Amino acid sequence: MDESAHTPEHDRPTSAPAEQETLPTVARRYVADEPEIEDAGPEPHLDAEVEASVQALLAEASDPGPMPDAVADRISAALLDAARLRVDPGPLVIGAPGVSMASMGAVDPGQDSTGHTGGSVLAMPSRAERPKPIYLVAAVAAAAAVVAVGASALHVTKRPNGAAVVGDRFTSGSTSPTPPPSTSGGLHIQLSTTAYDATNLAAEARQLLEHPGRPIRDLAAEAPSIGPIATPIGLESCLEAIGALDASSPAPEAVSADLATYDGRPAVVVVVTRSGASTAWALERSCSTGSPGVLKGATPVP
Amino acid sequence: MIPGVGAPVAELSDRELLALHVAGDDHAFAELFRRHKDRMWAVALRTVRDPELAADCVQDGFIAAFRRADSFRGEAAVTTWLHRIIVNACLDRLRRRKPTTELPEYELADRHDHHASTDVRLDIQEALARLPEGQRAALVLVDMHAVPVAEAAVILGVAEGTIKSRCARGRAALAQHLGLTPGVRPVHED
Repeated sequence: MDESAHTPEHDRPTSAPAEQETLPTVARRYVADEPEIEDAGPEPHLDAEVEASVQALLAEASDPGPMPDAVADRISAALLDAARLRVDPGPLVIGAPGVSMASMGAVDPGQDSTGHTGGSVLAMPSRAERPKPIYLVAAVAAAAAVVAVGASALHVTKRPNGAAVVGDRFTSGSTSPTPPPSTSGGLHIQLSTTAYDATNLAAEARQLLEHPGRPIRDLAAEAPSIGPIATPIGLESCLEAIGALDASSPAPEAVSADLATYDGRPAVVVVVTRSGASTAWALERSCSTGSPGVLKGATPVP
Repeated sequence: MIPGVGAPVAELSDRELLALHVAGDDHAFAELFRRHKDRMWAVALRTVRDPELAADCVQDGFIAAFRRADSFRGEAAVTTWLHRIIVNACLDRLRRRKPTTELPEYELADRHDHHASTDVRLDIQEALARLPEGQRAALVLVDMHAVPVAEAAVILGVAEGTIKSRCARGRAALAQHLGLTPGVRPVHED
């Protein structure tokens, strides 16, 4: 055992300072408030055999067993509530008729800035019960977007599942409540862990077309590592940047985008199908008008 | 092709699950919870020694992890990151509950213990409860859950030397309490 002499600097983390910056406040506060008094004074010398005995006793101490079902259910319910809040933020205006902080479930009186919930499971209204003004705004915005890009080769409007529309294949009024997990034809955006590189780009692009994953969730563009490329508008901008939306060519029949990696770095692989032929590009996820960030240029997909 | 979104979540690594969760996948975090809930429960229960409080701590921790998952930069294992959040949620809760000298009456269940070992076990639990938080947390991780010192240092946000020091102090205190130290009488305050 390393009997390192205790010094004040031992209380300052040295092995993972960067990770500390990423921790929730509840964790950081403990680190910041680290009590030093318990480490004060000379370190006791313990006979090696005695120390081994104590270690053995601790190691053999009873196992608490699995988490009780009641506790697991309670935490699962709390996580489900957190997921609902994340997917559907609900109304942002507190105090509107019928809208209170409690009804939103976002804040409970015992909750502090660290996200503590006081151990209570918040009673959440069902999604159907919650007003969704954001959706109304989104619908208006989507309709406006369709009008705005009407002259564009790629007509994009958002659908409830985060998939989108290419050309005239769908109308902006499409409100299918249970869209298929993946659109064959049209615009498809997904996230995967596929490791693309120059040698497998064409083949993996074919896999993407034939076996697409689940479309990426709405609002995923909020994630720092994803960004606008995960949105139809952002992807359209990228397609324009790489010249895939040449006005002199017919509109694409289908566009697929896979947020994955290329040569081990985060990237987006875009496959555009036009007149029955598919072409793939590997691009940086920051790809947008004026800055395509091409990692691998147009590659025919067999 | 490496499993992606379309692959069953059970086949994905913790890092892949966390990445999917950040990207908006609705099922990835549930799988992380399923995988690690028992271990986090054990760590929490051994740290706070009260099942109700432990449940609150684990819930605090998992909710915090759920909400702040995008801050995970991958510099440590996901399990280390989770441990750290849970343990610190425990210590945070314990501090909020102070000051108190009451010991929780909860006893860790072990159907296989015979009477003598039960006595020792209860003594250990009692002695652990009397240790300063930092020493107890270090011993729970290193000696009870076999977490390497370096990982325990990351989890508790202190230097490795501090973990070693706290473990040494905690073991010495336990040895004294259990009467394992030659010439030193066992500590029985009750």
